[in-house]
Amino acid sequence: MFHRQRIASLLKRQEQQRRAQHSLSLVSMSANTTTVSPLSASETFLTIPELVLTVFNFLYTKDLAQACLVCSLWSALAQPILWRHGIRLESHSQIQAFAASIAICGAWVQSLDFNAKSDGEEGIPLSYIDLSNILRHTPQLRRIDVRDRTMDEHPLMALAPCSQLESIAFTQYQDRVLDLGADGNRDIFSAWPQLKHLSILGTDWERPSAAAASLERALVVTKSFHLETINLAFLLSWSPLTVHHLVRTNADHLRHLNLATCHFIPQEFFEEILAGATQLESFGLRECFYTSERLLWIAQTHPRLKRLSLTDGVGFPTDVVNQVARACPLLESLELDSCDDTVIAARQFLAHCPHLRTLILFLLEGPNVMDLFLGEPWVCKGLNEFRVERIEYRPYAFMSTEARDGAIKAMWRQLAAQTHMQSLLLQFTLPESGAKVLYPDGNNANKSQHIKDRIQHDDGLYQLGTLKRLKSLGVIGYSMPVPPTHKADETKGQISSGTAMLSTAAKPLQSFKPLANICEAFCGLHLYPNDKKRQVISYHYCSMLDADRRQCLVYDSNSKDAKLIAVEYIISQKLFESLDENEKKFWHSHKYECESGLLVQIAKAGVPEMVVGTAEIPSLQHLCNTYGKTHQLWPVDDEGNCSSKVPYGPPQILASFTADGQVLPELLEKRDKAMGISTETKRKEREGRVQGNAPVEGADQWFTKGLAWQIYDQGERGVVEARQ
Amino acid sequence: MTVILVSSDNQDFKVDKEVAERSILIKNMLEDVGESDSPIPLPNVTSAVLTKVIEYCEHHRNDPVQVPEETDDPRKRSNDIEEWDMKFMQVDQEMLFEIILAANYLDIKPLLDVGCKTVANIIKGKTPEEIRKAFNIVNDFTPEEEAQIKKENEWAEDR
Repeated sequence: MFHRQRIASLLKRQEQQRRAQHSLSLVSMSANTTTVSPLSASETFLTIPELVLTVFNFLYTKDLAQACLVCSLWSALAQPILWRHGIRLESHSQIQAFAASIAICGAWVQSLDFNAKSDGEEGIPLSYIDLSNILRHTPQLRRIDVRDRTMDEHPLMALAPCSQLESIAFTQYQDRVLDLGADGNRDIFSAWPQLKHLSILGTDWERPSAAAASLERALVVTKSFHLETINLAFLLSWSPLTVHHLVRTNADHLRHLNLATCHFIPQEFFEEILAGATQLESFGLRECFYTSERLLWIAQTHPRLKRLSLTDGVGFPTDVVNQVARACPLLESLELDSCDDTVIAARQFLAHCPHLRTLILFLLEGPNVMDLFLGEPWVCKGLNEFRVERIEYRPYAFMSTEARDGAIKAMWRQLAAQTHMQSLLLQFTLPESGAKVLYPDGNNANKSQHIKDRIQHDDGLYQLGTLKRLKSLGVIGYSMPVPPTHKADETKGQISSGTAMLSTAAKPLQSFKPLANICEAFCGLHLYPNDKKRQVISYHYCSMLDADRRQCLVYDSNSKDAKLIAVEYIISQKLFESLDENEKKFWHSHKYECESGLLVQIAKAGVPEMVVGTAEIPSLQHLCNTYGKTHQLWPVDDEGNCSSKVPYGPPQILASFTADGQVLPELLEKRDKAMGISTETKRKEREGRVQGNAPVEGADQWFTKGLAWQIYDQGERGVVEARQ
Repeated sequence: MTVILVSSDNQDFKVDKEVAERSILIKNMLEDVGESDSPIPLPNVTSAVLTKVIEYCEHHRNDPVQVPEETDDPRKRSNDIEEWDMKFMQVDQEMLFEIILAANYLDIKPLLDVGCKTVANIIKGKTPEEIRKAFNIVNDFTPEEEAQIKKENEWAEDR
């Protein structure tokens, strides 16, 4: 209530200020002005709290914290949002800073995540006192996650003051015994009458402990539970009766049940208990001993299942999985791993579950690996996440090149039809470590003859252009065939797997407005070697001739009306080394601009910066060791623009940047703004991930030798000279 | 079937009923008055803005009705703007706010969301001073108030 008043008074204050300004402006206006302009749209917008709040709801922690500091109205509106939702606290100092203000702002807090996500059995310490001090001030807390945090007391004890908790996740460490009172019957969970979601991560590896036993006991003595979600993992020492009790007492509400690395499931009665959970929508099993009959039984008795996750060491026979697929017509999400034949199993779900939205598969192998895509179109049309981690694709296992080409085409066709796709990952694996086999054009001289035939007319990833909603794309270990115009030399000049993969994998992420059939787009800066303050932002659109040669059209922007201002040829280090010494003087290296973040990929609008950042790294690592020769066709003015009406004068040789302090800061700032990126962040991201060889002697002569080679127009003939 | 919308500057816009009904305000009005040919006055929307709003509604005429998704985190993401919408929103800032106000008045939730996401994206990554500059906001904090808020939210900095 106090808060509402504060906002109202703030709005009033603003209105008064505005009126004062208006009357002031009236006074100062000349006599012939009779009207006062009404509030502009932005001014009106900023006085409507509902609208400003709608904007703030799209912001996350860091930007909300900045918004709080803009003005008093914004702080009044943004601060509750900042404190209310999804607070994640990691480091000790961050927790201390948070605790320092909790007495003032704690009433807003609804969700706290301390989850430290440690890998080992040892959690990351969180002091019990610190946690208790925070939770004393958060009466509205709904969700808490303290998994992987070791504490000097049992974490559950610190949660007692938060009676509104709906979701609790914690790790049961072996040395934290719950105090259940003298009679051992203390009903600890009664402190949270609203509790709906309970996640317990154990750490015991079959060693029974007093701590685990005390938690089991606490769960069993609890009189009333209304759990919708039960997630249990790594609780090998638990008695099956505890789990049975949990499921039985919550059967009426239970919607999500996930069991990982537990021994207790195959006990009798389990099905009987689960039969009562008619609302069950989500069922996950990971590393649990379970029989296929039981799985089938669950599927058949719970036709409302929307999510099924069967991973790690489950090993169900294909015929059972087939029946499961038929029994779950409403399935929306499927994770599958280690079935007898995951390909056939997954194919069954794709054929019988029209509502499937998420499909995650691990390890497709065997000669039939591409059967997932062959045959009838998938019955589901709305997949938005498709992930296959490890496709053991063996091109030589196909009967013929036609069969193999058909399979590849079917793969792209099936995927391109899933127009709701937002996240796609295909991870192809090389069958033998170290073998340089190209996939799927399969170019390995050591294998039998027919693998040498390349797939014809595979436009592969290019087809995924239909997936307009794609936000994340990973295609690993897949390589495109060489362009049809290029006759590959069998001994050298073959496209390496790396290169081809990049040029194709990058494609859907980038923007190609000025030209189609181009496979890479980069934004960088060039300079005149003979006039070093003359610099220009250059948008490169590159196509590949072969592994050693690229050609780029360079534009002055990435918009539709961009001017073609230069042409750059890019060649491999190997090819550069083979050049005549006299030719080398025209070329520049790319090591510095790749490492420093100066050169960046041009992303298609809407592709998250994170995706671009990750996707461009391998591409840049490759460019790092290449050499470029840039013919600037359109002269650059003092402001770094190509402003003349026509491109005057002879083409000029431009150079790349080779060290810090060369690029004009204001030009770089302009570039960063236009691209919506930070070169400094890029540099940090690339540290240790993008690293080039020292540039070969002969390149960058303006820098290494002070020789700025340039083309000059001298009356009747042009000359090439290095002038000072 | 078409309806006639009249902008604040008295321009008539003839649009398909289906398109106009993307606006819940207009939809409710049409339901209230029943079958009628009389034009619908929209005194809060200029013809320039109404042109844009109709362009949006035309493009999204077949979109399914939005169902609010229930998630644990009620905060939403602003990086999922569709390409067409993104281009549509490439207007000067005053027009952007005009569109948002119109979407709010006409009750077109998806357009309101896209507009607010666009504003959110302008805010993202900016310092408070840059935000003030972008939206012409006056800093009305006393130094003490500013320091106090900064201190309260210290944990959230650089996250």
